[in-house]
Amino acid sequence: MELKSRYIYIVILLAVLTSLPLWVGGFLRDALILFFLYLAAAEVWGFMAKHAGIVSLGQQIFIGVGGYTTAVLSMYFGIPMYASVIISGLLGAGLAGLLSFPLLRLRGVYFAIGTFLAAEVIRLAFSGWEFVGAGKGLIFRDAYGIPTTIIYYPALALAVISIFLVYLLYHSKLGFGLRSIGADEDVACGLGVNTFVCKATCFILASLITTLVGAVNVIHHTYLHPTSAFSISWTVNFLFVAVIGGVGTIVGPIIGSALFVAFGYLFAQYLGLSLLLEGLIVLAILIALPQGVWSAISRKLKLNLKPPL
Amino acid sequence: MIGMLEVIGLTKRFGALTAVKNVSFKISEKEIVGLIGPNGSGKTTLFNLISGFYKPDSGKVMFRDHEISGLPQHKICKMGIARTYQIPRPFLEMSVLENVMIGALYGADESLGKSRSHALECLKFVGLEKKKDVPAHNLNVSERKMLEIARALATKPKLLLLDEPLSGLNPKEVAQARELIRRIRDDFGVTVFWIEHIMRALRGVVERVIVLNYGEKIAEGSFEVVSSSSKVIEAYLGEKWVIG
Amino acid sequence: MDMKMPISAAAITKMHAIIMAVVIIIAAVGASASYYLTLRPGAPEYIKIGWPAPLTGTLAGFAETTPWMAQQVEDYVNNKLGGIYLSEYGKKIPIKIIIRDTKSDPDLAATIAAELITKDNVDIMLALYSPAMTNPISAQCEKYGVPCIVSQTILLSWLMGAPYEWSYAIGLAEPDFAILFFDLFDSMGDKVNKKVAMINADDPDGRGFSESIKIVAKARGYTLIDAGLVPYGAADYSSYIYNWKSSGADILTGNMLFVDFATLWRQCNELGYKPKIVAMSRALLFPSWVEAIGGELPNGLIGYTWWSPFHPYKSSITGQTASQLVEAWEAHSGKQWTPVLGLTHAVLEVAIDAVKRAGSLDKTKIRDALAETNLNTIAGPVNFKAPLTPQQQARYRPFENLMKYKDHYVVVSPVAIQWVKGSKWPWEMQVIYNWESPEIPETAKMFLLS
Ligand SMILES: Nc1ncnc2c1ncn2[C@@H]1O[C@H](COP(=O)(O)OP(=O)(O)OP(=O)(O)O)[C@@H](O)[C@H]1O
Ligand SMILES: [Mg+2]
Repeated sequence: MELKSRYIYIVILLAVLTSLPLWVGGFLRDALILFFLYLAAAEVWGFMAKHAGIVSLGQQIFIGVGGYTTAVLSMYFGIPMYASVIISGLLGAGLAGLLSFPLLRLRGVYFAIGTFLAAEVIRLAFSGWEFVGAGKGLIFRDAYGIPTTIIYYPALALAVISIFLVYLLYHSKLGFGLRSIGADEDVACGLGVNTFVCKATCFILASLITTLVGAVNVIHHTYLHPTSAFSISWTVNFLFVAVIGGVGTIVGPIIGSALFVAFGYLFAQYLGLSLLLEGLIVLAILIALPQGVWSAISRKLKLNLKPPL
Repeated sequence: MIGMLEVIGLTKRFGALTAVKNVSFKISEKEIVGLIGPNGSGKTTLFNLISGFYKPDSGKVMFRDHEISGLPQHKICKMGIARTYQIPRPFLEMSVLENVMIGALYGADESLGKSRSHALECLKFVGLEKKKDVPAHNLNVSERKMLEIARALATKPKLLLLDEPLSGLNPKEVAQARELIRRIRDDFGVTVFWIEHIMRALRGVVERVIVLNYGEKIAEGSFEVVSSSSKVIEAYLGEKWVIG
Repeated sequence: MDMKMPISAAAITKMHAIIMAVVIIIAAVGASASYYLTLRPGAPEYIKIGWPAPLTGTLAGFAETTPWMAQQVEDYVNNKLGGIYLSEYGKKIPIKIIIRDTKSDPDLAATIAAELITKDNVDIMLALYSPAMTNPISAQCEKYGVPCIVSQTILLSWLMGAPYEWSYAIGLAEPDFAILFFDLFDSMGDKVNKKVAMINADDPDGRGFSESIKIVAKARGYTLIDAGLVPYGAADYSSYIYNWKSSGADILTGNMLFVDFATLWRQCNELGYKPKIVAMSRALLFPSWVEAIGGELPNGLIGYTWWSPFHPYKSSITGQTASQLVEAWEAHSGKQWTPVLGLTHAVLEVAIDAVKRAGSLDKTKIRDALAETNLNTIAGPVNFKAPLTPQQQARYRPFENLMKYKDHYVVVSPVAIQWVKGSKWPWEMQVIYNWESPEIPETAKMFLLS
């Protein structure tokens, strides 16, 4: 069979996804937006963690920066919202570049701790910064008028871009470099890989996507509060989505994000127990399928997919 | 003869231990030079200093008349120094071909397409082309040793540092590997600096031998001269069999 | 796909099958879900009240009474009253209160509010318990056009999101607290000197309180010995305490977390600093917080409340008085009442009243009815159209949003209370100063600490 026919299926899938908001109800649209946003961020997080060995526990920095920048630029500076989103993306990428210098010199668990601490520092700074509402939070009034039928599209676009980015990255020269760094950083360096530049590029790209996720999220939720915008729970959720589905695969987070969003809604009615139930289910999945749901499926069906699928 | 590598008064300490002590020597282009010494005498540490993994406490390393001590490893690699590891360190999850491609992509700064064919050539040279799509963790010890060499060669080095490439090989493989090392120099014009624990393995291949003991250079010269030096025999006391 | 590495034919067919399956599933789920969710034939089954509440997490203390209260009211309305009469359908329709746990996370609160609106199709929303919860929820209501009753929040913080079209608040006004305290201090005449020791947490609440105290103290000729803004969890306050002691301040005031105040007050005691009045904002709201100070130390500490069993109001739904509500809660839970109880009930009164008057589940009609609310609730009268009192006008004038959007909120006036040893519970509050609410009885006479 021709490889082309696969592209046709991808095109059909995209056509269905693009037309979805026209004929599904409001709630499903809401759920899909969350699905796409978590998917987009988890794809890049999983790629970084699994292939490049960059386990960040600080991606909430970019969720928060994306949200605050978008809201502040469009509310206080009168910049059109789409432009604010783009500027916030650039700002997030720039910040990732700056943070690379101190943070990417740390390895493994020290890097993880470093990113988390950086996020905490930024959270504290925002909690005291009156201009952005400090601990009272920031209400993004200007986004009230934007219906989910519209927000759906940037969310979908982010998910698609994130998937393609991971696919292209994996097969690029940079991807080879990153995978060698993930495997053995010293050996990679000895073979001529400029490990800092490779890791920083990867971190910047992933953070760019994450910042845009934060930007779209604030347009959707219209409210920002430092404790939740910069909360570790964002990164923990990305981690769950990636790990449940199968970290380092492209399909894994798609399944992971669908499960994550479904669990969230399903368990919300068990008042006070939802966290516990979610935790137990995730634990059960990970014990039964340590490689994640998708890896188990593709092994069972003997799909023999090439990585990073 | 044109100078390739010059090491001047190199010293490296680990706490109280001086692993390399005031070592100086020169290696010329297209030489094969052996480096021997008992266990823990500082051979690997010397390689780590040349390749930039460690910074020296004093002294310097000159490569083709440029000082390289203090430069990061990847820059030194791109200037033309490649190394192998005593205990092979393949990228376990990657295929054999991909392992070698890393060297070609980054060390030799090639494009994806070019690096693939170049890496295949390197694999053919060491006799691993049949295993190209196998994940590296499936290789046995001698295959891993060969992968180390192929990966280093893919960076297009001018100077190749081999850290005990023969250990773990059977006698037939040892003979092939010695031949391979000779061809690395003869076919590619690469200068080879070769650590061996078992001295006699060097006989007939190397032009010169440098001997380390407790981090100090105790002898330097042709194989025959060095292997009969009383200082060397003393250093290897109790391990006489390794001298050959 | 990597063109150089063709994938086995079997894998491709499986791939086709999977992609097909995914497309079909998405289409089927989407179509059926949207059909199901938009279907709403004839008279509605329920009047749905959405209530996202922080049942777990840092704000859980505030929502402690929420599920019980919802159950009480739902049972009473549906079983005793047979539902709410809606003129549009000409019959009574039962209510359904849908509570969801926000886990004290503002972002999750927004997600859940949106879910209640888009999936459960709630007719009216309740948003309570601190700006971190009320602001994201009422923002979602504005976005989707759903009437929203906001309460148990600080109005200035909530009004950052103004102008509102769909949200109405029964809240607390920051400028009130400082004035309440100084009116109380003034009423002491010569019995206390005009030196006030002050300390505030380094957070928005502490900062806000500090600013208003500075203004009032200056206007009324008090000298402040200000320790400034201190971070959470400080272990040693002795340098501040010595300073207060040597300056002889008779009054100690501030706004801190209860744990930090507990440390501070214990150290004051150890170092022999004995002010005559201790009037704290925030730290003395809940009896469990007061008890945590330990020993006899809570005796005589002064705070404020916006509701108590002594408030002479009753429920417009059940007819319960404030003290009956407290009894019912304490009997059910075995726990001491907290001031949250009153507003938790009042929001349900206001919601049901608005739907009843709208006679319809049309959201605009409910919203318009809500705007016209004029109801005596268990937490006092609620009338968004009522003008501010002259005293309130004077106090709120510097705050643009409070003046501009007064049709969207009513203020619950605080009264000053003093903690004393109780008969039923270790520490109970007594109303010592009713301030601007003469109808609320003063249940005890204030005493000085020394
Ligand atoms: N990173 C390090 N930290 C502390 N000590 C080290 C370190 N690396 C090497 N050493 C010590 O330095 C000395 C020289 O070690 P090195 O590995 O260079 O010896 P070698 O000649 O390669 O020995 P072998 O024949 O066993 O490979 C040894 O005593 C070793 O324990
Ligand atoms: Mg060694």
